[in-house]
Amino acid sequence: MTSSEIESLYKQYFRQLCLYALHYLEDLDESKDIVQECFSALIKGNPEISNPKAYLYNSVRNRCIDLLRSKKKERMAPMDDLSYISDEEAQLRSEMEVQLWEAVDSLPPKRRELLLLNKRDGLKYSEIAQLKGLSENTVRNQIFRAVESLRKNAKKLFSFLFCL
Amino acid sequence: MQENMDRMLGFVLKHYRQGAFDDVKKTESKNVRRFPVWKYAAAVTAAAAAVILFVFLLRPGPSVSEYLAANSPIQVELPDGSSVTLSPGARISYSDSKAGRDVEMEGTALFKVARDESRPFRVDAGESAVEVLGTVFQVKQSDGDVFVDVLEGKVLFSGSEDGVVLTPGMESVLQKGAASPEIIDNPFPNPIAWVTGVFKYESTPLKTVLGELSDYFGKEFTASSDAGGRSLTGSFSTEDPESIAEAISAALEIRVTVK
Repeated sequence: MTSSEIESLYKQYFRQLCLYALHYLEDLDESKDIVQECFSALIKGNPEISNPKAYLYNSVRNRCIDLLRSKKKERMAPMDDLSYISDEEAQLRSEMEVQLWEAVDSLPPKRRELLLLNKRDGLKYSEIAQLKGLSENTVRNQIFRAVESLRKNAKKLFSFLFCL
Repeated sequence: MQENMDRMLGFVLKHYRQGAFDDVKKTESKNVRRFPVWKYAAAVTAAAAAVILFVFLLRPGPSVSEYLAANSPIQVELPDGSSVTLSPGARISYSDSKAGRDVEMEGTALFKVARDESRPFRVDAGESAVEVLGTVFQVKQSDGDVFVDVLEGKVLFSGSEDGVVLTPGMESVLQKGAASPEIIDNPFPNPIAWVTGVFKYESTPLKTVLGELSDYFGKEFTASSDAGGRSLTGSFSTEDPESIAEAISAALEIRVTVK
């Protein structure tokens, strides 16, 4: 593989591989490191590959499981924030989660901040309202709108993927 | 499917960190990050607006009129017979030619447009455009979002990509950075209370009423816990939030507080 071919694989798959690894490791920095290592190995080893995408997913999975083992974790299966999911499911979701991640990126900054304080950091509406000097209704309203627009985005994406 | 979608969203939000993938540049143009582009766009728009105004002022032909409301709402008659009510701090600039009528605006304004089929009336607010022939509608800018409410007639409201057609009672928002407007489900019933001075409700869910009042006064209206699922009919003056809370409390036999 030429270096420009590897570069285009990197551009295309880096994010979704990170999200895939995140289902195993639940740590964004570790996930990025693992995926980075896979690409470094690809550049050094320059193996014969017929299906680059499957190859990359495989090598990310192997490295994730090695890391979990070395940390003496019981769990070897991927999960989301509610329960275990299958490896196949994690692969499938990672592609869509990239799109959701980008949709969050493009939310209006203030609205995104309120959304994250609530959904990621677990603050209540009343706590956010106090912190930001807004009314609780405004907070609720903004978060509601943010979630609605992300859902709408996701719906478009789902119908697109399932039409193929 | 809905459940899966929400789980994916939950997962993404739990781990989300802004700029985590900024070091990975994508090649497709649709994935170009929006924020910097908007910053430039705003600067360019501002520059363009200044230039256009300058050109109009120097050349004979289309005339430009500017209006600005200071501390209280004002109503102005435009040269074409339309009227505009401007909320405090709002500004419009109106220009008119054989091809059409153009308004650029900031803030919140209620338009009553004189019908003229040959010359569409167009309002530019931020990155959105509203186009009509003759109607009553309101445009409100808030934190980069643009809200449009229609009271009479039909309005075409568009962003940089798609548009929506709005009819009376409908409200739509073009969010900052979005390419197309979205229609808002169950909008507040009195979008122009600042002009009429009255909130009117007819079997309106109490939740919606309190939401609208909180939004309008920038204070928080809350009801005691026994108020769940109630609805309200009546009219209230916009003058005093405290007396509205008292009136609702008395009518529904609950306790509504304002903070």
